[in-house]
Amino acid sequence: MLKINNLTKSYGSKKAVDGLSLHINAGEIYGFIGHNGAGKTTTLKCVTGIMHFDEGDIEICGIPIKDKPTDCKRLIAYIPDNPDLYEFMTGIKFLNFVADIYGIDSATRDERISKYSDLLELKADLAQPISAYSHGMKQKLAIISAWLHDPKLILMDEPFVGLDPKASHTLKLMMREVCDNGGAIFFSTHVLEVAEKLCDKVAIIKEGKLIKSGTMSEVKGDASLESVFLELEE
Amino acid sequence: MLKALLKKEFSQLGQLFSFSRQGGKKRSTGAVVGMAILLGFSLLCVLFMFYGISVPLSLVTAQSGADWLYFVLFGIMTLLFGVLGSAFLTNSILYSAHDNEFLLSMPIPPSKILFSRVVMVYLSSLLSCTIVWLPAVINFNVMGFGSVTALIFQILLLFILSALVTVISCLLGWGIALISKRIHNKSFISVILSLVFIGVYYLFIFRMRELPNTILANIDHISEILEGNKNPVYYFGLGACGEVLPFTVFTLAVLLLFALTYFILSKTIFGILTAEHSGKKAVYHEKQSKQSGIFAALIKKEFKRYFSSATYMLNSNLGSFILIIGAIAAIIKADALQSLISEIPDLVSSFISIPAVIAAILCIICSMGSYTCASVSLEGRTIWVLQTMPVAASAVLRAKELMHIILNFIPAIILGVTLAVILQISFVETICIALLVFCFLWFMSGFGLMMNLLKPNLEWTNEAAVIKQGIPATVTSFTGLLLGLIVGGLLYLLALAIGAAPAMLIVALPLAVGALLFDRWISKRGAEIFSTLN
Repeated sequence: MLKINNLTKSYGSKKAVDGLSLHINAGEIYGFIGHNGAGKTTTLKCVTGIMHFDEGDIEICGIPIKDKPTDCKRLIAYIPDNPDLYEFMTGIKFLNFVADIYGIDSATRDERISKYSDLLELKADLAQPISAYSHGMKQKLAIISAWLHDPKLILMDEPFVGLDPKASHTLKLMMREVCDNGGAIFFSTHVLEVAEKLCDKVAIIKEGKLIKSGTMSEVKGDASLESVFLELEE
Repeated sequence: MLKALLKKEFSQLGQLFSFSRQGGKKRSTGAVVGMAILLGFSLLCVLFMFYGISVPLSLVTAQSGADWLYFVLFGIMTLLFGVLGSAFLTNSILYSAHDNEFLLSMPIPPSKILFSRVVMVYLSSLLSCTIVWLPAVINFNVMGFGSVTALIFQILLLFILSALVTVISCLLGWGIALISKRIHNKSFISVILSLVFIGVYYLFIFRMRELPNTILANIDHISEILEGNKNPVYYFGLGACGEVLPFTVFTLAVLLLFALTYFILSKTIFGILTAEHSGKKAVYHEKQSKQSGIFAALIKKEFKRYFSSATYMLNSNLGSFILIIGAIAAIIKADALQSLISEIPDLVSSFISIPAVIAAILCIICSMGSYTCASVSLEGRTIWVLQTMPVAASAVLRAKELMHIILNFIPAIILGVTLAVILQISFVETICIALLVFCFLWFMSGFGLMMNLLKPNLEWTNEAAVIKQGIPATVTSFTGLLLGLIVGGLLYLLALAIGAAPAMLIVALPLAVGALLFDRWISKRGAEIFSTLN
C-alpha cells in the first residue's frame, strides 16, 4: 500500500528525515511515534505530496508520488495536526466541495455524509459556518471529509487531539473498518496507550531516523510501549 | 491595576509601529522612523487643508461680525471628522478587542477595563479633533480676531469637543457591536456601511470646498436662524469667543453627558463583551446534493471566500463599485453627457476619440481592483486542503484568475455598453472596447497571481495584511495604474492617427501576448510553487 524507501528531507543544513524506509501493507493500522520535532509531520507531508523531498522514493499502491502526485492523491486522504478548514463555508458546503473535487456522485456523497456525520454526531451542526465550530468539531469534519471518497490509505497527524471520548472511540472503529475493507492507516500520535491498543504495527522515529519498527510485539515485547519508547529516546 | 491596563493599551498601540502585521516581525528602527515621518506628513497635509478652509471662513464671518459662527462651523466639522474617524475604531478598541475574554477572566472589574479602553478612544478622538480644531484656532488668533480669554477657552474646548466625540463614538460603536452580534452576514453590512462612510466622507470633502462661498451668500440668514432660536450651538460659538457663561454651560453639559455615557456603559459592558452570537442557529436538514464539476467547485469556492470578507470585497473591489456607480450615474446624466458631446463637435472630431477615452477609463478603473495578488496568500493555513486533493494546481490558479476577470469584466461591460448606447458608439467599436478591457484584465490577473506566487504570505493573522499591504498588493496596484495610464496614452495617440477600433486592437495585442506568457508561467512554475507552499 505505502512504500517509503530511504526518504531524506533537509531544512537547510538540518536533516528532518534521514534515510527513512517503511512499508505499510493493506489492512494495517500503522502508528508513528516520536518526540516533538522528530520528523513525523515532515514524513507525512512528503507522503501526501505537499512537500518535496531530497532523496528516496515514495509509492502509494505502486504509484510514485513524485511522478504522479494527482493519481496518488486520489487514493489517499490526509488530516493534519491542526485541521484549518475553510471558515467561510458551512460544514455541509465544505463536504460538498470535497466531494465535487473527488467526483463523488450525489447519491454516494449523501449516503456517506449522513453515515459519518451520524457516527461522529455532527449532523445537526453541518449547516453552521465552520468559523463557529470548536476544535473538536473541526476535527470531526476533517475526518468525515477524509472518509468521503473511500480512500485506500489514510494519513493522520495526531488525529485524536480535541476529540471527545466517544468520538475517539468512533474514530478507532472507523479506522479498523477501513483496514478490514483492505485499506491502510498511517498516523502519528503522542498517546502511546492508544497506539499500543490500536496499531498492528508501530514505527519509532528519533531525530529523523527510524530507530525501531515492526509489529507491536516485535517492538515492545513484554514491556509497555511507553517504557520501550522512553528507553529508546534516552 | 489601572496602570497595568493602560500600559497594555499603550504597548498595543506601540506595537502597530514597531511590529509588522505580516508575520509579526519586529520592524527596523529605520522602518519605524520612516512610518512616523509618513504619518506625521499625512497629518500635516490634513492640518493644512483645514487651515486653508479656515482662512476664507474667518474673513467672511469677521466681516459680518459673527465670529461665533466661525467656531460653530468648525465645531461641527470637528465633530463630524472626529466621529467619522473614531466610530469604527471605537468598535474595535472597546467592544471587539481580541483580549476581552482574557481580561474578563482575570480579577479585574469590567469598569476598569472599560476605563482603559475609553482613555484610548478619547486619545484617538483628541487626535482627530486636533487636526480640525487646531488650525481654526491658530488662524483665528493669527488674524488677530481673538483675546487671551478666548484663546484659553478655545484650547479647553478642544478637550471638551474630544469628550463629546468620545461619547458619540462610544454610542455609535455600541450600536455597531449590538448589530454585529445579531446579524449573520456581517460582510455585506460592513461593505454597505463602509461604502456609506466613503460616500459621506467624499461628500463632506466636496462640500467643504464650497462652504466659504455658501456661507458668504447666506451668512445673515444662518446667523439669524441660530441666534434667533438661541440654538445650543450658538452658545458653543459664544463660549469659543471668550464668553464665560456659555462656555461653562457647554462644558458642564458635555461632562454630564460623558459621565452618563460612562455610567451606562460600565453597567452594560460585561453583557456586551460576553454576548454570544444571538442569531438563530441554523439546523441542518438532509436534502439531495447537487454534484458540480471540479472547476465549477473551485470557482464557487473562490466566490464564497470573496463574499465572506468585507476587507476582501472593499479593498479588491473598489474598481467594480466605481464601474457600477458610474453606469448608474451615466444613465441618470445621459442627457447631460449627450449635450456635452454635441457642444464640442470640433474637439471630439479633431482631438478626442470617444471610444478610446471610454476604453482607457475602463482600464484605469479596472486597475483599482486586484483579487489575484492576494488570493494565494489568503489560502493561509488552509492551503493543505487544495494541496492534498487530486486536482491540478494550475486549475486552482485558473479559478482564481477567472474570478478576477468575472468580477471586473461584468461591471466594466455594464458601464461600457451604457456609455456606448448613450454616446452612440458603433457596434464594432463597442466590441473592441470589450476586447481591450478583457485583455487588460487577463494581463493584470496573471500579473497579480504571479506576484503572489513569488511572494506569498501564508502566516498572516489579519487578512488585511495580505489584501492591503505587502509586496504583491503594492506592486500589482501600482503596475495596474501605470499600465492603465500607458494604455490610455497609447490609445489617445493611436486613435487620432488610425481610428479608435484599430488602435484598441493594436493595444490589446501586446496585452494578450503578455497574458499568455503569464498563463504559461503560472501553469508550470506557478503550479509547482503552489503545490509545495507551506
